[in-house]
Amino acid sequence: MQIYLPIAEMSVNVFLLVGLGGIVGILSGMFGVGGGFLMTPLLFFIGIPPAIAVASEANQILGASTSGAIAHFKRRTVDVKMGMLLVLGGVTGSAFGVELFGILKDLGQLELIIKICYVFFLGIIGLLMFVESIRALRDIKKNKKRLKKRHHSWMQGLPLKMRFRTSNLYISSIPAVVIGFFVGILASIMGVGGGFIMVPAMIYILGMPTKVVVGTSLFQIIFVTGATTFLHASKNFSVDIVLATLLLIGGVVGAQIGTRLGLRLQSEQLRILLAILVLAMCFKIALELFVAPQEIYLLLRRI
Amino acid sequence: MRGLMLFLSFLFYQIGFYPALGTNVPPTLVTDLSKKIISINVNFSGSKFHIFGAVKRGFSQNASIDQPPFDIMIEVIGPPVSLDFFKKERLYGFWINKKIQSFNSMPSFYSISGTKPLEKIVGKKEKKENKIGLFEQIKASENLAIDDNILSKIALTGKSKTTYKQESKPIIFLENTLFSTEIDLPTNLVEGDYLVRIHLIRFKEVLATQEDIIFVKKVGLEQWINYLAHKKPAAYGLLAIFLAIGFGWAASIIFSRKAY
Repeated sequence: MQIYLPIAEMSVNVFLLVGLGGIVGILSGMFGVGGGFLMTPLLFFIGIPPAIAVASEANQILGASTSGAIAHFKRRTVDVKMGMLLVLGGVTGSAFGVELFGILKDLGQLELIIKICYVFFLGIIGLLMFVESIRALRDIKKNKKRLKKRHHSWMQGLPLKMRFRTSNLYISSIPAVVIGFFVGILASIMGVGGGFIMVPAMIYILGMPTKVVVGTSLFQIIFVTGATTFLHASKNFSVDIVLATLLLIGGVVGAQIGTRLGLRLQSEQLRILLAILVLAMCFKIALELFVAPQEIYLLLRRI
Repeated sequence: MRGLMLFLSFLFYQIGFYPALGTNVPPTLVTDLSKKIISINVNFSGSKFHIFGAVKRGFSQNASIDQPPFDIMIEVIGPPVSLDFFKKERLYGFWINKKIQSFNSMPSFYSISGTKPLEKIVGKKEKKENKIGLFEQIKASENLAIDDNILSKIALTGKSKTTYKQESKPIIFLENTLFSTEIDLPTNLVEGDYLVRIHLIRFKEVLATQEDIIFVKKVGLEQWINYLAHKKPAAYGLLAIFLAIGFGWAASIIFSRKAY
């Protein structure tokens, strides 16, 4: 069953889109990773124009993160004050990113930059995940628990200190805004939620307790992807509502299945497979950038 | 006597033997399209339409201009769009796009087909005089001098394979009179008027050109979404946000029995 995507101006199989949403939903439910950095490259592979894939994926992540954020909010595992600072940085970063997106699009270099970003981040995430899961497997065998908590002395020197009751911290507000800003740019240029940057940054840079990290990250993602969706829609006309909705239908169901599967299966072993998948996608996009193209001339429509 | 003469001359005229008139009356074309409107709806996945017609001979059966062999050429030209033409170049190992030229009104779609391989039907001179061919169309609509070198490269771009194409199947042409062909339209159609030009050609001379229009438009949901996205982008952005949150919320209610 084909469906015509009004903004992407192409015809795609409905079951392919819902299925992709479902598979990525299962993976994100199982491993607690946001689906953005898996879904956006898959959309490139099925031929959705990168500009539309990125903007529509930001819209999908908004929906996919909503239920998780609600659950965390109910359990009070959200540091709202810290979240607000991250949102402040994030929305600014998103506005900056959308502006940059438009400029790159006009220059005809948008696809290149999006793909370079993906090669870079997928490469790093894939490698880290791979190393981490192998190390975790070894640790399970040795039956020891790794617990690391770093304290950055340079952070103590920064001004504008604030008290965060939920996180039990008294730190400068500058790092949170900067992290938020950086993730906001990623959200608008790559169509990701940025959880994969945000979560480690909260633990290792801000020193937040693990129990509030995921909830606060989801809280921030909702506002930032919401802002990104709105800005892309009003500036670049690149949000395809039909595409986002179909992915979301598959995604929310997949995420529920994934969460339940994750509880039953040994996820550490599966995590290696996910790492390999991420590295394979990185490799495929890298090939497109480095290997001589079949056609050296191209025509792009200006809108 | 006068009456008989008139009658005879009328008769001769009718059957085509009247010598003074009609010696150089060229044949004309009678054509039609199988569709006048193509609607892009929710399950649109490209479209096809037929062009068909007949060669209507003039009155002079003797005049060579009115005798076969004829050839037919059909062009379909999409509404104009702005395009940038890039060349991929290698920079530090990456393949980047280097802009060569901007065009303000290029055909968004172009298809050409003929009863024979195109270069055997018309020459360069006739193409230029009658504005036949993609290059002539671009030159006519762009209003600026374009390097022929660049034009020939446009024909090599990936876009040209679906958007600018030379139809592989020849036009069906029966008894030098009836012809028909089918044009495939891709899914990424730009809305607007598609000009259909049908040329009747004999020994590289264009005898007649008939023009028709097929109209492409988005309808129903597609039209509404497209309108909202481009004319009311803020409302569209808000709709996208509410829709996504609504779905997420609904999912959390449905699955809340055993959530997290």
